[in-house]
Formats: sequence, structure tokens, C-alpha cells
Amino acid sequence: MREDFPQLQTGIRYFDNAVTSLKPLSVIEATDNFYRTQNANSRRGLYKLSAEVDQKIEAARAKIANYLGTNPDEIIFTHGATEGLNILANGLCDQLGENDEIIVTRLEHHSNLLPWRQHCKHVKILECGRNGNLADISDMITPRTKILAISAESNVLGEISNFEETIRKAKAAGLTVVVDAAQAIAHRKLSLENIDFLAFSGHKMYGPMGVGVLRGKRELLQKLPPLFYGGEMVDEVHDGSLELAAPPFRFEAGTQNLAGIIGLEKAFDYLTPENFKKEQKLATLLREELAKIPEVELYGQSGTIVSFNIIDVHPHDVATILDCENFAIRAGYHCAQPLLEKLKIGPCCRASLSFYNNESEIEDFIKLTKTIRTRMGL
Amino acid sequence: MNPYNEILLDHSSHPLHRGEVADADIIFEAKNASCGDNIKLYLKLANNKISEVGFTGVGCAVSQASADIMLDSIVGKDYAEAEQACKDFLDYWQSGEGAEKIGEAEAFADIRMMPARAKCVTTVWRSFISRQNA
Repeated sequence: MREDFPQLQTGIRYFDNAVTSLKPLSVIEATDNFYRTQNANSRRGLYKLSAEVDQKIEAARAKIANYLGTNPDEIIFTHGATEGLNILANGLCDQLGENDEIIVTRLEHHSNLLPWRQHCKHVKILECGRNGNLADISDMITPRTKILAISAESNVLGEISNFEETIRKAKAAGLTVVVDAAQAIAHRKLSLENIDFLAFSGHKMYGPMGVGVLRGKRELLQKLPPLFYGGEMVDEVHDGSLELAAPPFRFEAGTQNLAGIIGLEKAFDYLTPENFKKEQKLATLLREELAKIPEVELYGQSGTIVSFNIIDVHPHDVATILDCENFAIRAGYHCAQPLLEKLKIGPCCRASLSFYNNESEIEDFIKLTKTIRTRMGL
Repeated sequence: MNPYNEILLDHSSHPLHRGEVADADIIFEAKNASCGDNIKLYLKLANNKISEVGFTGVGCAVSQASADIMLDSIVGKDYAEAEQACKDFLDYWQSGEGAEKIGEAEAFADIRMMPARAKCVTTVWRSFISRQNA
């Protein structure tokens, strides 16, 4: 499997999968082939090549819908999770009353926090602990609460043990549930039960950068106003009036990242139960070994994301020392500054794994981590 | 390669100039938004020279050492000389040339090869120049 990912052959020990995954040859070749021999725009041309592109795009839509357990007309192609979440914050908040409120969790990446803050006056924060467990949402829901925006997995703390319970309670209370699956999509199969909208990016799940998916329930998409207006999102345009195309096309204004969509379809082949199991096992090993180092403070409790600090060493210095030995990790606030400030953690190190990592890399990582304080003169 | 050499570590763990300067004439900040570092720098003037210097704030070892070395290179100088010292360092950072002019700041030679850490080093030096021009 490692041989499918050419970048691994450069010798990098890539522990930064949460920021973006590596890309397999099948994805690289599919996007490359598109530009070499299939390049045409979709839904615009009357010639064969354009029709073939249409077929490929719709085949990708169908495959993704099938993977998620939904219908192709509920799959909108976007440029990434951020675009999907902005479409939702713009469109759903447009339908809120003056005093309606929404709940966003403390765990959110800025991409699932700032759009809501921008579009809604009343944003309440559902708090969490350092282990990633959320407070009970039931205590926050009032008759004015209309939406829950929540990550399926935190990009800092990993799995959220009461995610399912939280969305179930939100749904039962009549809230519209928006799930940011940017992290979760690559590492587990999500059930769409209790989820109205789901957004994710391609590039964190072995697909190309600049492409993503927004899935919405058909009846909700019918009511959702588009964020972008332009070509191919309308059926008719006259002076002073227009008729929107049906979903999903009304949300896909302008030329889409067609090569990206074709590559993304291939990436889904890597989302298998075997791969999910393997990466969880590796992450458990990493977490257990880090926990044995007395000067290491760990955050979160499960999932492929393992965040930590080494006491008295700034995370950027940890990342630099690891970089000298060709390990790539992320260090800092991880685009979740309010979370790390609230938990009084501050910046931290984050190692995030994928199925193509291996035990030997983890062994070396632990050995090196043990030397960091000494290297820093402590 | 271990970019954390003795000089850098000495300045980060035992900084010469850590702390506020009482009755400082000039206080300015060096912010590195990408990592949340915010270093505050204090200068006191006497006879047109920078007579006392200090800094507060937390950050990585690189930014702390850089603040300490920068302040050490401007203390005792007048503004023009201090600004020149900062420019000499930033020129060295840009080109790799002129190491003979920058004294202990050459301790950042290995970090200079790591573009991801450029801001950790250069922010305080730039902040002095932009303070001058403000």
C-alpha cells in the first residue's frame, strides 16, 4: 500500500495527515489524464468529449453518494469543506428569525466557527473538556435554537466520544444538524442518520486539493439559497428574473474543479474498513508510547489525531527538531485558537496518522521525542 | 543537523534582557500572528543612546533567543547604529552574506535554512525598524 503513495519514497515520515493527506498514484494519474486527454468543460459542450466529461462527473457523484449512503442529487461539489460550510452558514442563517440562535461546539476549526459567527447574531458555544468530550447539549437547547454546527472529529483532540449522542439529541429537539466531516471522512464511515448537512474536503482523504463535497438532504437543499451565482446554476435568465437550476447544480456556479472531482472519485477506494482499522491501531500505539514519557502531556483520547506538548519546550521547537529527522508534524493553534485558549493548552504539537504510516516510524518518533528536552538544554 | 546550538539555547533559557524596563521611553511589540507569539520590547534612552533594554512575552526558543540577541546588539547604540545593526542582520538573513557584521546572531545560521521558522527569527528585528519608522 505504501508504494501507492509516491511521496513516501522521498523518505518523509509524514505525521501531518490531518492537515492534508498524501495522494495515491490513482488520484494523481486520474487528474493528470484529465488534463492530458479529457479536458473539456461539463454541462456546456455539444461535442462528444464534453458529454464524456459529464458522464465522468456524474459517475463520480454517484459513487460518492453510494459510499455515503445517499442519493446523487444530494451531493454538491465544492472547493472544500470551508466552501460547503460557508454555503450553509449563509443559506441557513438567512432563514433564521431575528432572535433565533445556533449552537457551535468549542471544538470547531475556524472553518466551522467563523462562517456562523459572521452570519448569525446569536451563536452559543457547547463547551468540551481536554479529552474532547462535549457538555450535554440538552442543557443549551431552547425553543429559539435552530441549528447545531459540529465536527464529527476534532482536528486537535481527535474523536469526540459523545458526538453521536449529541447529534441525536439535537435532531430529537428539531435542530438542523450540520456536520463538518473534514477530519472524520478519511478515518471512519459516518452514518447520515441525524445529519442534515455534511461537508468535507477531498485533500484530507487522499484526493486532490481544491475539491470537496457538501451533502444535504434533498428537501432542505430545495429551500437553501445559493451562495454563488453565475454560469450553469440557472435554468433560465431574463431581464429582471431567473429560475434556479435544481439541486445540486444550483450550488455549483461556474466551472468546477473537474480534474479534482475525477481524482476524488479514485480516493474513495482508500476509505476501507481495513485501512481505518490499521490507522487506529497505529494511533493507539503512538498514544500509548507517548503516555509513557513523563514530560509529555497528551490531549484527547482516541482517533488518528494525537496532540501533545513536551513540558517546557515550545511546540514549534519540537516540530523543528522532528523536522531535522524528516518527521512532518504540525505545531501551533491548528486553526482552533479559541479551543486551545479555553482549555488553557495554548499552542501544541499534533501528530496525525494514516494507514500508510507504520510501527517503525512510530518507534523512531518516540525515540526522538525522548531526546528533545535534552537537545533543548533541559 | 541540530539548529539549537549552545548560543541559541543560552539566550533562550538564560536571556540577558528578559523583563520589563522601569520607566521605559519606548515600548513596542513584535507579533507573530501565525503562532500567537507576542513579545513586548522596552527601551530606555540616555544621551541619545539606548541605555537599557528588556523584553517580556512567551514564545518558542528561537523567538526568545532572537529577541535577546537583537536587544543585545542594539544596547549602547544610538538609533541610527541600532537600526543599521537590525538591517545588517536582515540583510544577512536574506542573502547569507555579511556574517562578520552580525556577531552572535550568526547562531541562527542553521535556522536560516528552515524557511518555516523565518518569522520566529526575523519578527523582532523587523519590529525595531518599523518602530523607528512609525
